[in-house]
Amino acid sequence: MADGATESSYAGVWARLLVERFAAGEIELATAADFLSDVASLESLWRGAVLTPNLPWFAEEKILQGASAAFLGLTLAGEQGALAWRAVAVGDACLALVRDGELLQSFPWERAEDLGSRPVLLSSAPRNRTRLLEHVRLTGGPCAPGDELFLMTDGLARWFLESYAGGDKPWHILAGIASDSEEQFAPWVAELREAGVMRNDDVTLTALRIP
Amino acid sequence: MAYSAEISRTHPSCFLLLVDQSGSMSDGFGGAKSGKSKAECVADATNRLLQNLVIKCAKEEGIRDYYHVGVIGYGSAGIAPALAGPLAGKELVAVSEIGTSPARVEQRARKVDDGAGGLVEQQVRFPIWLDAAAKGGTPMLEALGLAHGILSRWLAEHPSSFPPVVINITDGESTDGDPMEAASRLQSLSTSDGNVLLFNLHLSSSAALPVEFPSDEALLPDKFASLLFRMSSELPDHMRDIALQEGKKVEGHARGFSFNADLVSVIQFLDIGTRPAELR
Repeated sequence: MADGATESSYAGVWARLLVERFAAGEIELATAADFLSDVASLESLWRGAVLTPNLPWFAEEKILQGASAAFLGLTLAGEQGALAWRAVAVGDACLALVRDGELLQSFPWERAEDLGSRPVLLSSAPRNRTRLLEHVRLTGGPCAPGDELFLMTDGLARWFLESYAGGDKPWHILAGIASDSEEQFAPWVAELREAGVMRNDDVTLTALRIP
Repeated sequence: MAYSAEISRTHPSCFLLLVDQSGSMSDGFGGAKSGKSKAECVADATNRLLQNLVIKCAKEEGIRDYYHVGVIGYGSAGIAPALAGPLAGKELVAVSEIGTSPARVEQRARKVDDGAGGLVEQQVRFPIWLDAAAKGGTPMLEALGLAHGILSRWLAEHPSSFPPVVINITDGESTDGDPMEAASRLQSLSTSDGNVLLFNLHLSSSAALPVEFPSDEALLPDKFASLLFRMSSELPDHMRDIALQEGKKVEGHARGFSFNADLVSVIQFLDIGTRPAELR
């Protein structure tokens, strides 16, 4: 899952590139350094896709500044019944692992307050990778049959964590939407925005259940 | 809550620069070492403010008109719109016109991060809207009065927009009287979202250390700096929050005032969408 930052140009192209290359297995997540080095190799691909001749000065400048996106990657490996998950995160997307009806882990953020308005994101422009290293979070563990995994962009994650902090079990709602129909998602999000409990922001949910 | 109106193309805000082009601006900037005149620094500061504002509003499809922009010069030529090139003589224009109509575009070198802990030099295009000028007196009072007129007209058409930001760039030595009252009059203008914000960028010949967004005038080196500090609006809370997140040391009641420093960071405080944190 990748969520482009609105203020940068062509963040959508960058977010799509990150997701496609991750899904193609071209982004390693053994260590944070491996991950960043693979992401860095995508910078020239992004520039190639967006730099065209005769751009006005401001478009060129915007491209030199780079595009940014939050990124959350999840891999599952092993045999059925003995699966292991591993995840990488940079920025304000969030993964929740629910086991036996309880929240086992929310990664990399545990409280809604952790999701600030100025997240550190993955940029398509060269950045000091030594300093970015500490912002790359990695985790993982064994999966159990029946485990539910929810990948959420920041607006949804904030709602999820606030709701959990208030004593609710928001994963029931998400699981319900995911198992019923995708078409319920947009009206449900619209309702939450209307009620003022979710910010007006792009929202993406990916839900998985381990068989 | 004040200063919370969303800046959009249907509800744009306004950005007005007042630029001191008086004779004293030909003096050196920041002590003997800089080798630059104050007038050159003012032109640089103005061009960089405009560049950053345009870039802030630029999207894939072009520049979104989140702002109306004006540049007023004050000096011997009187007080008049100061943009050079195709926009000469215009009082307020859409930010997209600023972006597409600089007087000229120069090439400059810039050092950027190479991603591996080093720096590489990059050639970038540097658009120019304002050239250095330094002649005559400093009619700051009158300039603030003209700004009052321009913004009164703008406010009548945009009564609920995010309030205009006025940036006065000067060496502080007004020659047509004490500008304090004119500044207060300008700041008393408002939309339903808050009062006009007046920020001052003081470019001085003094070699005193730069000061950014102070909350206490005791830190300032001379009476001109103190006067401009008192004329400056306090940073609204959200701007102060962003300044803190950008790593600036700003305290409560910090003002939109900067002495011999860069005020371009003010553009980063304008809130029009998610922006990633910069790594330091």
